[in-house]
Amino acid sequence: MAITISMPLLNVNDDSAILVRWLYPEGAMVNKDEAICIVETTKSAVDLYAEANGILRHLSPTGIAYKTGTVIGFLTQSVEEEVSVLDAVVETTENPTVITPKWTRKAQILAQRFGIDLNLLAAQYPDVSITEELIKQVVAQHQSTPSAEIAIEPSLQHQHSWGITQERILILGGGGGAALVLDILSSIASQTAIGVLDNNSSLVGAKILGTDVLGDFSLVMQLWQEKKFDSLISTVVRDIDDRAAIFERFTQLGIPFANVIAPSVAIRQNVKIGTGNLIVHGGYIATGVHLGNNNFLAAGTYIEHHSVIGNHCTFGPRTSLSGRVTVADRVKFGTQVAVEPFIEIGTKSVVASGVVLTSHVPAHSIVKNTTSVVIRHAR
Amino acid sequence: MPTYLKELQQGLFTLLTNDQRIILLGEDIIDPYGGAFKVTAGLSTQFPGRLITTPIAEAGITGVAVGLALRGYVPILEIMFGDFLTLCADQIINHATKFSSMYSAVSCPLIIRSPMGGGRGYGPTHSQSLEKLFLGTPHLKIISPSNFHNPGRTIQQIVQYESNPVLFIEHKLLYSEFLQVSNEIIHVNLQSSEEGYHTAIIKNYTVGNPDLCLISYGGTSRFLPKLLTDLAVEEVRIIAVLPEVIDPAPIDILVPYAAAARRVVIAEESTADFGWAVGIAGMLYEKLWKQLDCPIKVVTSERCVIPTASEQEKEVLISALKIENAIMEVLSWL
Repeated sequence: MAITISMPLLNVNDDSAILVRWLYPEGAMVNKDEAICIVETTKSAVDLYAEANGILRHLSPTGIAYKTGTVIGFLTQSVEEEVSVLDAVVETTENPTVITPKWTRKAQILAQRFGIDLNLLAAQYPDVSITEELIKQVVAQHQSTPSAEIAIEPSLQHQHSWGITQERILILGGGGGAALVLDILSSIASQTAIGVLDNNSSLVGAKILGTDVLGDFSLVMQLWQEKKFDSLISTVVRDIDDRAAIFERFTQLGIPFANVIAPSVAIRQNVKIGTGNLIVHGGYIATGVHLGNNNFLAAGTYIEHHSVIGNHCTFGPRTSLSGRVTVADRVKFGTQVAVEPFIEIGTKSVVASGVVLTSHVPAHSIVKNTTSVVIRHAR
Repeated sequence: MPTYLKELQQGLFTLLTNDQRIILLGEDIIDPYGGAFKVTAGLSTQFPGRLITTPIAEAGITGVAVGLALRGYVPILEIMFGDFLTLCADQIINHATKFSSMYSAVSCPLIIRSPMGGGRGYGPTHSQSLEKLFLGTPHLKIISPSNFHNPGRTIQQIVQYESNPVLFIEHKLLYSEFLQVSNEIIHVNLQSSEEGYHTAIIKNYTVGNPDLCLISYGGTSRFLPKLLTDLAVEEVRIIAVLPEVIDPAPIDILVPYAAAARRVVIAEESTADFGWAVGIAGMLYEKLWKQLDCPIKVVTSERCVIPTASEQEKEVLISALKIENAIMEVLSWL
């Protein structure tokens, strides 16, 4: 097999060089590392050396500039060996797959501007790319029919009116989160806990704030069929994928999840909340926020206006999101994370405690504040 | 299709043919070298005696060119790299631009051509965009055609109309670019000023109002064909406005486009702060106070020595991505 001699990149200023002359005639035997031709750039003339022993075969005439990478000759093992430029052609069988985006960037900008959830809209229009036109139609519809479906009325949910039918809730996970839920439910008239399930068998039979740990998660289906509860809430937060899997498994079985929201949480107008969200005391969900499903918001989580939170996210205490932040699915926030406006956080990212986010975070990122190191040992 | 370089060569050829006052000076501009970027290639052979190859002494040769201009010639001086214009600054600022005001019946029609800009790995002292150093100099016009303009036409326009010094800035990366004309997606119009200089108005849409007005000049134009095409697919309607005269800027031409879009990004390749882009932004704020939807966003290169290594150079210099990000940031304002 012939070895190709191609025009090298001799300096970054030139994408081509002149082949000045061959130092050996066609068919001459040359040795490895021997100079075989001279090429000239705008700056200088340099020799090219043979990469191996072989017979020099000229391909390109001298005195002409060739682009970097152009094959100008060959080194073959015999004089008879056929050579052609085709040998040097690298096969490029790229088959570009065209991925149609679900929406245009203009649609994305407008959706953000008008507070429209693009994921929901995309679900409504599964086979079309969402355009500016469609967004404008949706906005026009919303303006003609007051947006009752987007708004939830927080005051009704938390009102103490003793005649109300209570929603019976089964708590998944018997750790500290279960105690949090039970403590919150103790001050909510409309919801009550009927029990706790945990896969740790040593907990079964114990009581958490007076509520029984009934058994492991395999009991869910049985209790559901016996109509013992109305909805689930998950306190599993250690492993986000685990949390997501639990939510998805039971919702697929048709078992609903509840939102458990502490009475001191301020939920403002035009907020949209999915199901399975646990929002602990002192939280603030500002106007226009869209919160997906199965999120855990620890005490004092602030979500500023028009932020969009995906599904299965967990927020450590006192984490604050400024306005129009976008959080994808399965994002984990530590304690007291601060996020600046318009920041977008990609899926499955982990943001460590105390981080101040001032730029976008790509998916699958781990963001850590590197300044909090021990600088000195006191003794 | 003509390249920027070919059109510029053609413009100089036409000038040398038609106007005996024209004389070209510069380092290594005669054949066979024909100038570091080949702008004068072939001209010394076709016009013997009209091109003067000079010693490497930028201050000195600028002084010689000033003398020729005062004595009735129209010298076109090439400074091999714009970075070396610092050596010419005294002749330009303290002499050439002052004579017509200090002495009666004197004009100094001097043209200084020079390539600026990075992107070729030339390193810290051969990649800068130093035209910002000369902005605001009285009686100095700074002209930097993009590849939406025709640089050959522009240089002839300068010879015809100017009696004071002109700094003619060419971006290195434009030389090999084709001149841009309208296609199915991008629509180019040239709006003429009273003096006959062009401002390129480039739209990536046909109906409706623009979402954003992008103002820039010179070499930044190399990013626009692809950027505007990509954004057209995303339904983002951009009107790009590129004046070839950058100082004094044709602000009255820019204002209506900025006002129509209500959102403005201004891009230039020079370093951040105190440059052309912020200057234009200041003028627009004055004219359009409270008529814009959000603050004007300025995109520049980093305020940083330009590295030679190409990956690092890319990070420092302005890029299509940086412009695109600025556009998205401005559009994301409510």
